[in-house]
Amino acid sequence: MSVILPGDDLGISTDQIETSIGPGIYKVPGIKDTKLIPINGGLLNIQRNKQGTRQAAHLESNSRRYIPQVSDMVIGTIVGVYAEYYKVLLQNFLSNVTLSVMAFPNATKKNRPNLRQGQCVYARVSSYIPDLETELECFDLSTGKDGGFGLLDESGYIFDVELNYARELLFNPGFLVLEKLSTKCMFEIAIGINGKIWLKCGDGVPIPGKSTDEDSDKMDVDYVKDLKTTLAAANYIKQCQKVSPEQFDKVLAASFKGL
Amino acid sequence: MNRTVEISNNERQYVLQGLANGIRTDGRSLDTSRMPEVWIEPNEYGYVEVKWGKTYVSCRVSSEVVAPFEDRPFEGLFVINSEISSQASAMFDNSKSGVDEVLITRMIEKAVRRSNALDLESLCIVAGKKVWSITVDVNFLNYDGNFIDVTCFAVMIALQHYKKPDVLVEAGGDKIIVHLVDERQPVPLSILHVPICLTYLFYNLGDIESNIKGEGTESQEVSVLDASLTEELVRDGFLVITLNKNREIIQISKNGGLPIDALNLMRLSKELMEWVDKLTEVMKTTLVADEKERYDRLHLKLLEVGANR
Repeated sequence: MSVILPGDDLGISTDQIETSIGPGIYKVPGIKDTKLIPINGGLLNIQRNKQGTRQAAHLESNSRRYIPQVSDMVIGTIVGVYAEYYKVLLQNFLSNVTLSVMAFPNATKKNRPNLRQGQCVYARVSSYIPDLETELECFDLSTGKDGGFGLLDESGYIFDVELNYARELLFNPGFLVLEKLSTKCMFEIAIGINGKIWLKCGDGVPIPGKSTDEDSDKMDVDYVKDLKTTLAAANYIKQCQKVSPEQFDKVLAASFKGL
Repeated sequence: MNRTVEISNNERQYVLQGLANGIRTDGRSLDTSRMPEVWIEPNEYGYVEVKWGKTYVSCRVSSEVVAPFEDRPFEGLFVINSEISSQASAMFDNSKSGVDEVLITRMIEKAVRRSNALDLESLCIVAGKKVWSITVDVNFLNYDGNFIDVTCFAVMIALQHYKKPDVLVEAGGDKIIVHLVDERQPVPLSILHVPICLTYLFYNLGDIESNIKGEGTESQEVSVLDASLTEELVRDGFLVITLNKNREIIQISKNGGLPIDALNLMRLSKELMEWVDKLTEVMKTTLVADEKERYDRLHLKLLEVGANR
């Protein structure tokens, strides 16, 4: 891995090898044998297959704005409910994207999901064409089942993290933040590559409107504990984006102090 | 592009349920304010940047010699410019000023200008002819709630830090000489008191009916000091109290449709004194440290009478 600035020479030979380029690298389309130009600053990441016939290069860097890519897994907030589709917001100040009511598992004209404004979904970007509205879908393309997509229930907490950190959490199995967290509490997590994380420790907070038939006093005590744990865990995850891996334990202990 | 900040039901639930149990999402207690980090420009007077959590404000004081208003020949001019651009957050529009912006500007105007924090008569050079005009320009760099408190703090620390050039009035008062800052030691402004704004947010966790009826119904009102953006988005009402360390209330402004108990108001004002003292102390220590650093760096000791040259 090397640090690349915009306009630098990437130092990748593309003569003998089929190359795919990812985020941060640009090539003038249509013209053969033009150089690859980095358009972002960041760490150069090249992956080759075993035979050495194909390679993929992209620049790993952090940005504030989320730009969708097809098959990204994202968390979106429903901001509008219409007859045929939902309007979903992936990040504040971005344009809305659409989520069709048909883009759910087993959805038919009669069997449609019932989502309300303000609820959040875990979804996959199914189409991204810069000049058109981006589309999401809430099922696993290969099986047609829900595959973990769909409504994220309201008992979990949603918070924002940096985009590169979300990618790291989602794709780097050697990244120990979540494993360390699992030593402290049980949790359910959904990581959106758009920098949003849904997290629930224990049962989270009670969902409003859903009456609980159990003893209410007992419920109260339980949910306060879960609420505290969830917030502590969220705090730990948020703080870990600013410290080196050696300090994770320290941050974890500090976040869970008094619990 | 969306201009508004959307908040998901999940975040709303966690903020509200947390508040009901005295927990805040960032781990503070309900009546704890974030503490400001102040940076003072070392090479000039009157430029400060204040970080208050993630809220970030810069403030510059400048001065010029102008003719006073005819009906107030002894008073200098004092203007505070606080326009919020979309640099702070895309929720603010560049061209038109929204409700928030007007509110912040007015609140600062009331707290600082109309409370006579700056002695306007001390700005007079030649009565009726020449006075100092002091301009404070506030730039909002990032928004994470609570602009009013941050702005007031930044304006006050900048005003206390600023020094205007020394002026020599020649006999007869027809001609004045403004000395450059490196020619003669500049003069600090005369600050009469230091107002501190503090904002409480109110949440009604109970029935919405108690908002309208006020009394009678059991109120589950929670008050929170110095809210972050998420907390500001779900608030029901808010209260800005401006105090100074002499325990004088400079202004009280209560907005939003939530009724407030008179006793509660008294209690909150009293509790705020602790924070006013803390924040005034932060201002004082930062300014003293900066003064000392400058004194050493510029070898100002050499200017003192009897200094060993």
